[in-house]
Amino acid sequence: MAFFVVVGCYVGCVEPFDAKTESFGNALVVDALLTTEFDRHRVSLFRTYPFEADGPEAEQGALVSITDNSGTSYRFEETEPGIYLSETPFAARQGTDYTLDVQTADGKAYRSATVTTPENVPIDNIEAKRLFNDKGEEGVSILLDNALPSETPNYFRFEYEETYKIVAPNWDPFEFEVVHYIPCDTIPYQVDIKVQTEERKVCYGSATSNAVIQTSTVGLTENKVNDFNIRFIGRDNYIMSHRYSILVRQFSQTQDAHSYYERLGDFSSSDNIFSQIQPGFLEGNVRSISDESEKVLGYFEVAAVEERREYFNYDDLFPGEELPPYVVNCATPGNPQLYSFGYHCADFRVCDGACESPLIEAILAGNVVFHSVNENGSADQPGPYFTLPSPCGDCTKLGSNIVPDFWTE
Amino acid sequence: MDILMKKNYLTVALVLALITFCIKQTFAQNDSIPSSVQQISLTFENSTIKDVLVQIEGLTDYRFYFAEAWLGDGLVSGSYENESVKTILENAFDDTALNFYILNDKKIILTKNNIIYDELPNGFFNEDKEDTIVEGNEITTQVITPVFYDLGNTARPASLETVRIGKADAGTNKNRFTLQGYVRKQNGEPIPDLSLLVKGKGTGTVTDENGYYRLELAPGQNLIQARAMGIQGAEREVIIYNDGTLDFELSESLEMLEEVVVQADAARNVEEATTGTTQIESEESKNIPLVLGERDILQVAKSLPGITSAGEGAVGFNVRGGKTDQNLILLDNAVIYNPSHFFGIFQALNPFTTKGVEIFKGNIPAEYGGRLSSVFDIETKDGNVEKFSGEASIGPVTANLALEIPIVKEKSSLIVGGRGAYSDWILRSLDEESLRNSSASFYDGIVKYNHKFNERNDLRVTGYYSHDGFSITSDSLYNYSNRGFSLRWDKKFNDRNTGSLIVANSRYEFGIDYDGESNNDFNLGYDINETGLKLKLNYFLNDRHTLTYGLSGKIYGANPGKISPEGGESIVQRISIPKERAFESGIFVSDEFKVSDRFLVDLGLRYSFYAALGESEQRIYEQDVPRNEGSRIDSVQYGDYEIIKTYGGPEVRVSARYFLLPDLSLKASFNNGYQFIHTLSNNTTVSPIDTWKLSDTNIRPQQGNQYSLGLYQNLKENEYELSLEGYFKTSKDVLDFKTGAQLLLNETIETEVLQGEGQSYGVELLLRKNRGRLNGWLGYTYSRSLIKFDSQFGEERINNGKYFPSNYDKPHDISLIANYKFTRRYSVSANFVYQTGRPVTYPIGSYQFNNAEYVYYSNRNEFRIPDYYRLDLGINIEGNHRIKKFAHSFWTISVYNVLGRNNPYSVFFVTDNGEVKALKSSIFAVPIPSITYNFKF
Repeated sequence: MAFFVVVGCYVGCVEPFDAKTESFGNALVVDALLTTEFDRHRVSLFRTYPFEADGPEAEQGALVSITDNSGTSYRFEETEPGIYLSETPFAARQGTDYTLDVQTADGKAYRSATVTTPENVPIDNIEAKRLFNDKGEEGVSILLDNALPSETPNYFRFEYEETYKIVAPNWDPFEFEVVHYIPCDTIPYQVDIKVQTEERKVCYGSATSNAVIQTSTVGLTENKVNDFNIRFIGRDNYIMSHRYSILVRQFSQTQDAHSYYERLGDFSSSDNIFSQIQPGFLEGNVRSISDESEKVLGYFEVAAVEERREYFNYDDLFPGEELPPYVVNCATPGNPQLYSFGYHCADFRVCDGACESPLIEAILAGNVVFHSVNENGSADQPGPYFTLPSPCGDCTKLGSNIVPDFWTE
Repeated sequence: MDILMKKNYLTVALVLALITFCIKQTFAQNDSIPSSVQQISLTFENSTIKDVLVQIEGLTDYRFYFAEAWLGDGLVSGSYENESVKTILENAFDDTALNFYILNDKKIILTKNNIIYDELPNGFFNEDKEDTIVEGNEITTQVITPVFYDLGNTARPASLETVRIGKADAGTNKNRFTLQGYVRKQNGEPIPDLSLLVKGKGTGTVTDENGYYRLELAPGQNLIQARAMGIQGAEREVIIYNDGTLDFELSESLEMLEEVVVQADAARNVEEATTGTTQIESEESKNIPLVLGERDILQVAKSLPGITSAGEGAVGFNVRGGKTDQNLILLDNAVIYNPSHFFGIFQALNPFTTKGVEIFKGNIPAEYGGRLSSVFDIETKDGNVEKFSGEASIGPVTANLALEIPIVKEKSSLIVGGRGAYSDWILRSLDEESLRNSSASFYDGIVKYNHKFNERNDLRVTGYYSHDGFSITSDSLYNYSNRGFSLRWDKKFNDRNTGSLIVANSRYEFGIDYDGESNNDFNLGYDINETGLKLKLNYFLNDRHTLTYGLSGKIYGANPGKISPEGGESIVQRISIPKERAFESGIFVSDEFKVSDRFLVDLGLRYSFYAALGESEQRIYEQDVPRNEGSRIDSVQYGDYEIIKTYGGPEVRVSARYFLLPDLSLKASFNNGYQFIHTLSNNTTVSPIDTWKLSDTNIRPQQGNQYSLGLYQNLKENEYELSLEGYFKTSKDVLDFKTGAQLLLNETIETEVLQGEGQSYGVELLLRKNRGRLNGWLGYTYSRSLIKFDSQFGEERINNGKYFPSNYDKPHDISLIANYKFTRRYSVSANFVYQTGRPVTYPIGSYQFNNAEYVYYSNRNEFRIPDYYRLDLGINIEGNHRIKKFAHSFWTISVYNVLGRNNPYSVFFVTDNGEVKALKSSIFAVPIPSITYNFKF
């Protein structure tokens, strides 16, 4: 559960703080996923890193392989630092056991537990439904149904990739053109407008899931997943303003993998502020062979994958209703000046004041787009143009102007 | 016979004392009385003593000299043939305080209390004057301890009542007499825990729960001071001639209420043998500023050394480094599993009906068993048997009403209390986004009936219920409730034997109602129920031995969890973890043995026995491999009430006190115990949905030992109390869990359980000022609480099998509670707390996995959150004390956390949008003002 912190902290509150690593523990993190898809599968090897660091350091130069119970071994090659892809594409077969072996450049050997490919379960249906969620907020839920072919309970983990059409609300056929920008020159600063040449009105934004989404059929009378919420989009989220598409990938998991992800989720979320689950070392299924006491993080998962794409239009669910507010406020145009008040020249092309042009700097930084010409400049609004934050007129700030291959209208 | 005498008798007594002396002077030279005494025949039936005397005067030449008032209304009977007047009088005066002296000229002088000695004690005139001794036939001469009443040498208030106790018996050579009796209020309610001190002698006692006391006095003049909270103090001058009884009738004092915040009995600190006991009176805790103006004796308990909790929002108590499940919390003898509302922030006890709590954290008396760390013995008031009265309060969180209703005047009364929170107020005031859709409410109610059948039989019946409901998200509603019932019958068989029979039943349950969007709505429930019977007997063998013995037994029934679908569409499968049953019993005997005036030993022995009962399936696991699903080799089915497994053993409860000086004592104790039920919690702090698990074949009972040693001193007539106590505790088979264990609805919980060892030790210093304008206490504790989970298997080890600090290990703890009284009506009070921050499990790095960032935890509890401190201030205003006024009012204005210290309660790390966020939570981060209005009628 996410916490949003309000200004000030009163009774029963949660606030962020700047965590320091008190004593750093360096460990290998194995993130390996083998699926039933025919693909070059990926094993990532990185190290843990202190809070103060920007990101993880790759474990480079390791020997990585996956072996099945018939003795077939698939070797992996390092394609970029820390990322190892199988040399050849292959798919995990149902009912087969796999083991991951890693030998790092310093000679330490690691091996995973033996994992059996779980049963594949087809997705029955994915539906976008308008509702109020468990916090009482209105929005759209992406709900998934599947039906299990067998009686034994199954465990699922989901990932999604969402793609949505963005229409810049204040798109204008014209864009700024900076004609002259040399301070203390004989010619003054000059900004013109020209006709846009690139597609900047309609774009496609996308995002992938980054939380653990999982469910199981344990404890259910019917061995099926029904109306399981994969993604909730709040009523105020602009991403569903036009057309929205979600690709849901369903991973049938082993019970052990499910429990691993569950604990991972428990340790990294908080249900209520009064009590927290006791966290501790989260042991995966990869262990060091050389040193029993060495701690290894991460997991080698073998999963059966199903995927399905679903679309919906805003009008389908909210016919005739006002669009959610755009991601930025486009209601009040700005009026940056061409010259700042501190503009002062010492000599030809020698500035000894604040000679940067607020307008031109904003244009060059890509922060503003053209809105309109300031026809009758006043003391209050001396700038030559009215501007808007760039996403108001330029959708490429939020997504790509290339229509994705899969996209259907 | 009523010995409580009116003041005008005093002069008579004084005159008599003078006469006595004169007689000695006058008759000392006379010849001895003829040994042949006139014999008469006489019969009287239910006659007054005066009539008997008149009859004797009619039959003989004897003439009696007495004050008629001494004779009283008592009736005597007797029939004598040729019996000496002496024998007749001795028999007739048997039940009175009268003595007599026969002069040889046929005059018989009656005296009250005094014996007229015909011999002065040896050394009275520094030399024996045998020639002056009057030889009396009636009275033997082995007088060693005559009571001479020293006139004029004692300075005492004019109003001081003098009471004469007993009839001097020349045959006695005791240098101590026993004075006993009852102390009651004017309405007949007993006053327990009242201290009776013998001024200047350094001795004293405390009344028991029935107001009964027993005191050893030196013969002669004694000044007895009676003191208790809320009671108008009294002094009596007691001239004791022999063993006797003296009842006190005292009045309540409103003035005293303002004065002392918490009062253990004046001399108890140094006197009793037991180590580590504390008493808190509900009424006296009212001046202590607490959060949102709620009076809370359990919070006050936490300000005393040795009792803490993991933090402001943590349920339960950690007593001397013990786990929260190791406390036996009794409300009128019924176990209360969760005596708090709203995550431990408020007590689930009605402050108006609660008399107080007695906490045993050191040596636990042998009569209690089944929990390792402490006993909280909470008692409800006895209702007023005289007149209808009540108390009500309106505060920011709750409204409360308690009524005392006499049923049969002077015999029985009903006390009823009800309290409820204004629904949802608290959570709505919490400025926390995640709680915006939350709600919380609670209520509790109590009814107690007390009936005094006669002097020997008392009955008390209590019923209690508390309920909490809260929801954190709009689709799930959590609720929990406690129920308690008890019946207690106290019987006094005779002066030496008393007994109590107690029947009690308790139930704790919680539930989660989930009603979400999807078709997996459910109801989840847990409950535990226990019914027990206890017989406790006291035997006052003699002055040196007081025995307590008895037995107890209880049956547990727990439904460890069930889930059922809610609504027609739900596809949640009905699951019910099979019911658990067990029988727990104990047999105990203890002797409070007064070895000498200085040395008191309390020897207690208990044998605890536990049997896990069917119907049940017990799983058998392979030995010497980690216990998990894979190592299960068999399971055994047990039938209804079939014994599955028994545990038990002897428990020693020994404590001793030795007076180094009259007001300085040294105490030591040792005790051990077994605990057969455990809470299952994988949270860092207790949560209301933790379940209790009964020991079975796979989960062993916890065991504990405690050694303690302390020095206790009372200064300035008990105005100051000083105590220094150290303890060392060890425990084994305490429970913890594998990291990330799922405990709810887990049928094979034993595969997640780890049982390890605990060790805690500490030193507790308490300075307390009990009287005066400024009163309160200052406590400092240094303590450690460590646990260890070792195993040959990595998955069953925590922190590599080494000792590590528990979640509630807070080495330094300072608390100050002070109350300053400006006038009878106005007082201010302050409460200051400082504690070392509690240990937390803190990450040692972060890592990327599955497209998101997570933190890497390694060893448990290696870091601490910042230290905790808080200051609360309160102003208390009593309404005026005009007696005729309808109601007596009391205002409390308080500010909790005046310094606005943002005390971290916890730090934790969440992964939000793929990124780690470090968060710090606090419960009350700003000053919380509140105003509460109370009135009594």
